Amino acid sequence: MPNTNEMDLLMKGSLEPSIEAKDDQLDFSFVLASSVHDMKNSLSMLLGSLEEMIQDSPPQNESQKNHISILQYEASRINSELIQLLNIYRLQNKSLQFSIDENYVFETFEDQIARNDVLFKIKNIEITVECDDGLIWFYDNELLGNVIHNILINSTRYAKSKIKLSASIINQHLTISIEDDGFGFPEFMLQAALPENNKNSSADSTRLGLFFAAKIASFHKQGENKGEIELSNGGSLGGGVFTIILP
Amino acid sequence: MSSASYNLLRVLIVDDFNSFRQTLLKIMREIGFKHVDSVNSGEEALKAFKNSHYDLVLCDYNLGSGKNGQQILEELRADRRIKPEDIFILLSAETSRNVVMSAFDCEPDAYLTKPITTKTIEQRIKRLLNKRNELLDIYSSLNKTDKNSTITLLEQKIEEKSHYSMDCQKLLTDLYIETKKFEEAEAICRATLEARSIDWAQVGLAKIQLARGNAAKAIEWLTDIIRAKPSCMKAYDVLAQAYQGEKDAEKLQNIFEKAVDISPMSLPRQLSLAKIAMKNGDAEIAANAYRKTLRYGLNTPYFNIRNQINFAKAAVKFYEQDPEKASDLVQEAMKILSTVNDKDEVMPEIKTLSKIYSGQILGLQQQYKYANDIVDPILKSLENQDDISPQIEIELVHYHIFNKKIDLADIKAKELVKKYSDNEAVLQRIDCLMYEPVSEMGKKILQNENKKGIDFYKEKNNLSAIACFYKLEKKYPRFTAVKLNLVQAILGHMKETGKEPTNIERCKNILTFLHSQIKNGDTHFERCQQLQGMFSTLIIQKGENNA
Repeated sequence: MPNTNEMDLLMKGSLEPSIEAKDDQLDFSFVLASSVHDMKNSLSMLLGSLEEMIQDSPPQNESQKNHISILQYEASRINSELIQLLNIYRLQNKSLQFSIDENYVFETFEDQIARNDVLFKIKNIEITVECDDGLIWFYDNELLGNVIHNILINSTRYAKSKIKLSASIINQHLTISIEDDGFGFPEFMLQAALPENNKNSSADSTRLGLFFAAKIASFHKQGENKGEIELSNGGSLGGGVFTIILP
Repeated sequence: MSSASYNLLRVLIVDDFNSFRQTLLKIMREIGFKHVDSVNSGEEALKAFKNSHYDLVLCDYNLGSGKNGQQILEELRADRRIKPEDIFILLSAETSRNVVMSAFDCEPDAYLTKPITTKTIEQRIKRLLNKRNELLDIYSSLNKTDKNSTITLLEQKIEEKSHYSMDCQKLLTDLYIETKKFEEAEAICRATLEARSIDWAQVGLAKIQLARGNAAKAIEWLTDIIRAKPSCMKAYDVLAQAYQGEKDAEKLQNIFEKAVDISPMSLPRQLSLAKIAMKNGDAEIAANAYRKTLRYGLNTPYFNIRNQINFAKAAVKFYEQDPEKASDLVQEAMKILSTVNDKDEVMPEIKTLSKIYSGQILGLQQQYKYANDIVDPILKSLENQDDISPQIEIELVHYHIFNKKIDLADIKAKELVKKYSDNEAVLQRIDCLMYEPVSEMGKKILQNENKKGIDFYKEKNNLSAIACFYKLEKKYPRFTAVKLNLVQAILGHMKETGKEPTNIERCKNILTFLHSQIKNGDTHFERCQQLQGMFSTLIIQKGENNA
């Protein structure tokens, strides 16, 4: 393992600057956040090695391919879950940095697709993008990227062979949809995504993911309007449709 | 850009982890690069740059014990070994780009979070090379001194609706401000803000106000930005600049405290905080900020002798104010002082200072003999010297005070006042040795701040009065007038709310100090006796207030 001291120092500083002032009292959420950070580092190594392994010796048969895809998928899911945990910690600590800038939506899509490239290849998923490459919108590229990343990983699990990302301006709002050709979201998830249920961020991870996505969306404000998320079934591929709408 | 042109570009990979280095090497070859070098540490990377030039650098953030990726970028930029058109990509396992980046002034061209797929690297490099191609003429004109030609090029790009118009607008705003074309700069910011409240445009407007000489307006706007977006680091930096002109030291400290709280890794901000807090007599904040500057600044120019000595100075001052809280810091200071002393290349004057600080610490720890052993030789060697720096002279008086040679300290302090009677700057530094101010500034501060405290006291707002006098006492630990007022305010507070051990201890200490210094017949003698009487009455009172 590489030496992680430097980073630990950084994390202590950035996560909880006042930790030193708290004398010897141990702050559990801080400890948790630090360990999450460590876990994420080792998972990073694991995913890196996995990608190399797939390149060096591509799977020989369906069963191998299946195993690798499970490894890849689960590791990515843990990874994105950990990132989300850290962000929720920062959110609670008011240290989540949020900065809106102009971005090319197409590039944001490209980044997230490239990030999950191996996963899509292993699962034989065909990604299509419907977005004008000159489309510019105002958002925090990193945080929105993380939301899209989480949804893509989730969709990969349920899609049969297709995922579609699309973006357009509807009523002066940027509307991003991520659709798949799976069986669609179960009823309880459609319920959980309703705005009145977003506050209830009970511990289960699906809801936590939705809570986080809704939270990030709501950070995007313009005048009276706030960003929001929607879940539905059907769409152009007949499966689940996740929509994020930003003013 | 076609992959054919890749083979002309030189690439450097910096990663301490062998397998990752190999992976990156393979990826770069697959993309089509022919000249790819790799090294395993920051030091090696800087060496590689001495021997040749690289167009593209892929650098890990965490490189083990040596310099980190950000420090490498900063050094390369500072020495101009990396040109504006060169591409520097920082790779890291850190989740949030903002967490790492907001701390620094130099930004890399891209920041990629591990795990990184081949596709991500390939795509990002292609994108950055396209940008480089399109903006190459602008980059090369940036290297020249004539800003107007760069401005013309940028205006053209924006006119053509280039894919990189946003980048061009930011750059153009800064250039307009630099060349005092304020109206043009304002037009860009306003047009951007019409669509959305974007940080750089908001800060841009404040920068324009500041450049136009309207610091008050700039401060007002920047304060609004920070209130709405506490993590907008650029706003803090411009705000600090604005306050520098206003000379409002306390506000300035406040801004830097908030800024380092959000992003503690920024060395310029830590150092600014340390300096300003020291000036304000807030030794605790100063010592901690110096410590962080040194800790995070290891392997950087910030880890220098000056900052080490100043850290020791702040730690001693804090130790004087609060021995219990400062004990760790002062131990660290002792260690640093001994390393400074052991270094051959350190100037003799700095070595002398470091010994005096060690003597001060030992004095405060009541290890008078050890303190003498260190400082006596210095005193002897300075006896026949005329050109001693005021700093050493002042610190020697502190040394005497901490070693309980009060009479000697008082004599030496008076000599200094005489010697520097027409040097206001030195007199301001001598104030902290005196029972009453000798500098014009000291007199003014005492008058103003004392009045604030007295007004609070008159309004029966004892706590605010105590805070006010306490702050003054921190800055001027020996001023008689401040100490008398502080005791009176604390006594007033205890009369209202009851006796309290720490406050009793505080009064006792201050009164002991006052008795040792005020003699019968002095101006303050009578008042001191009165306060002592009030204190004694309160102590023996088995009052109803006392639970």
